[in-house]
Amino acid sequence: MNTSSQNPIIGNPFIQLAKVDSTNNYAMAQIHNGLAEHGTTWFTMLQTEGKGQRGKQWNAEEGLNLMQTTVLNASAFPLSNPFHLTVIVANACYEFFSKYAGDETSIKWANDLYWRDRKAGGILIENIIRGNKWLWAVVGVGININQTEFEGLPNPVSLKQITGKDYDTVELGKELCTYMEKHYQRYLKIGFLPALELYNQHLYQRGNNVHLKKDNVLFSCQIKEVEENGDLIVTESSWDRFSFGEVEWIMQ
Amino acid sequence: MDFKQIQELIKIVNKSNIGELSIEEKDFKITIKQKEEAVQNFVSAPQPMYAPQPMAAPQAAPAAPQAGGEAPKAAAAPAGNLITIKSPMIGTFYRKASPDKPSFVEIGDDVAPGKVVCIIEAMKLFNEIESEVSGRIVKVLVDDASPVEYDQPLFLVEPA
Repeated sequence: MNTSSQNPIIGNPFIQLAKVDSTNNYAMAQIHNGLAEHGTTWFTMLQTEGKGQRGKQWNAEEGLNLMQTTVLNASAFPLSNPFHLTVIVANACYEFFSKYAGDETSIKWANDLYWRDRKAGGILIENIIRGNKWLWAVVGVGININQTEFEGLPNPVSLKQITGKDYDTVELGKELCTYMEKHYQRYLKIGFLPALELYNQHLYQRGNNVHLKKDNVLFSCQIKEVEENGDLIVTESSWDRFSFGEVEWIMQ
Repeated sequence: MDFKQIQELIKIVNKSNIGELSIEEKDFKITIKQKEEAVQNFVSAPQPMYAPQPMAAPQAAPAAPQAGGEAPKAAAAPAGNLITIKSPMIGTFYRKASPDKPSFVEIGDDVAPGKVVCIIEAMKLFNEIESEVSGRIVKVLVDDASPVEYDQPLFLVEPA
C-alpha cells in the first residue's frame, strides 16, 4: 500500500531528534512558540523522560524503538467527543503494526496496541484548547520495535520478538505517518462511524470473557464493543458500561 | 430529579434565552438563573450535595472536600466584572503538568490569551486549557484532581 504518492501532509516534515526529554513535550513547546504546523512529526532515538499516561513512564532503549509525536490541527475534531481522534490514531497504529505482526494484533481499549496478550505500544494524546476551541492535538506514539529485553514491564512485546527480524525504526516511523494520513483523510471523507466500526473489529478480547476491577472489586464480564462516546460496553456482568479510568484490566 | 437531569437542565438553560427556570416537585425545588454573559448556575435544594461546585462525578477521583451543609460556595461567584474561565469538557481538573511540577497559575498571577491555566483529562486525553482573556487570577474554584463538568467555572479573573 503506497500512499506517499498522494503527497501526504502528516509526516512532512519528519524531523529526527537524537535525544529529547519527551517528543510530546517538545511538540507542545513548538506549538507554544508558534513553530508547529499541521502534520509536523518529531521522531527521536532517545527519550529521557518518555511519557505514558499521566506520570507513567515509557521506557525504551536508545534507537531501538519507534517514538514519535505528530502535531495535528484539531479543527476537524469535535471537542464534544475527543474520542474520535483516539480511534483514528489507534486504527492507524493497528494497520501499520498488523502489516508486520499479523492479525493477532489488536487495539486494547482505550489506546494500547496489543499483540496476543502483550503490549506492543501505546498512544498518548495531549491537546491545546483555548476557551471552547480545540486548536491542536499532539499525538505521541510509542511502539516497541527492536528491543528484546524489558525491565519492570508486566507484558511487553516488540516487533522483533514477534517476527525475529530487525527493522529501520526511522523508516517505520515515516510509514506510520502515511497510515495516520490515510485514516485522517478517511475520517474527513466518511466520518467517525466507519472508523469506530474498524476500531471495534480489532478490539482486544472482543466477545471474550475478561477480568476487570472496579473500586477494588474483581469481576468477570464479556467484552461487547466500544461505543461512540468511548465507553466500553460489556455483557454478563452486573454493570453494562464503563467510561475511561473507571475500571482496571486484570491480565491473566 | 437526579443529578444527570439537573445537569441537562442547566445545559438547556445555558443555551437558551431563559432568564430563570424554577421547577417544584414534592419536597424538591430547583431554580436555575442565568445572568448576562457570565453564566451563574444557582441550585437550591434541601440536600447540600446539589451544590454545583464540588461535584460528585462518576469517575473515582480523589474526593474534593464537600461543602459541609453550608450555603453553596457558588454563591460567592462572580462579583462585579469578574470573568469566569469555564471547563470546555467533562473530565478531571489538574492544576499542574505533573505532580512534581508547580501549578500553571496561582492566585494573583496574570494571564493572557494563550496562557495555560490547567489541564483537564478526559477520556485519557490530556487537554491543556488556555486562557482566552487577559487579567489576574483572583480565585481558583476547583480543587486539584477533582472531577469537573462541562461549563463548570474553574477560575475567576479580574480583567486587565
